[in-house]
Amino acid sequence: MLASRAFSLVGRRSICTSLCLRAHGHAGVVKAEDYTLPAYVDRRDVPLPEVAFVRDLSAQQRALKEKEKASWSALSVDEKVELYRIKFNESYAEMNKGTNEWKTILGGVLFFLGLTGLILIWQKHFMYGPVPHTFSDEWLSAQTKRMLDMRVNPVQGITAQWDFDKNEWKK
Amino acid sequence: MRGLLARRMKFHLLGAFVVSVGCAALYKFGVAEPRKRAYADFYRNYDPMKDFEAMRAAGVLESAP
Repeated sequence: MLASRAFSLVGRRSICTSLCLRAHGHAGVVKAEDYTLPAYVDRRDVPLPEVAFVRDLSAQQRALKEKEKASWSALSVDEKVELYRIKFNESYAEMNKGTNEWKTILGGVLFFLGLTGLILIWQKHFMYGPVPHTFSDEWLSAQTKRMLDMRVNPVQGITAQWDFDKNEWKK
Repeated sequence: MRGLLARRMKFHLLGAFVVSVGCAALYKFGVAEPRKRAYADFYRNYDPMKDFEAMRAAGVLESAP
């Protein structure tokens, strides 16, 4: 609302885009920008792009285009290939070809994982304090004994791995 | 050049079907069946009173010393 109010205050005619400003100098007609014209694309799902690949033909290519208007059996194989290359950039085979990018990506990923590992090692060594006392061996064995006494997870879990008759872990 | 979508779709439909059924079968026979067997074996000759006495003897039951 505010923008339209400001618009009417300033006056419709005095707001110009840069394109319109250029048109004022060129008798009111602007040269079409590249991005507004139909473009060539190499895509699997666009078999016939809107324009040919080569826009400005050389003299040789123009002569070939003239020859194309006659019977096609008069064209040699090389001329046919040249006509193809005028019209298309990459063939389907070239378009679909794989790259070696995955090696770079894998290498980068592993490198940064290793770097992170080094950072973590540094942190453990220089930054963190001692672990809680409940992680000591004596506490852990007392804790495990209590879990076995309570018969924690007796079907498939920890108590299922303990042999109560021999008082040791099952083999 | 013809049937590009049809070929791709056939391949992927078949693949999706095989992969999903395979995953389901793997889970059933790798996880679900062994688990059912383990529970059946455990409870076949389970004596809860004996288990209770063992726990009480170990001293973990506060209300049944």
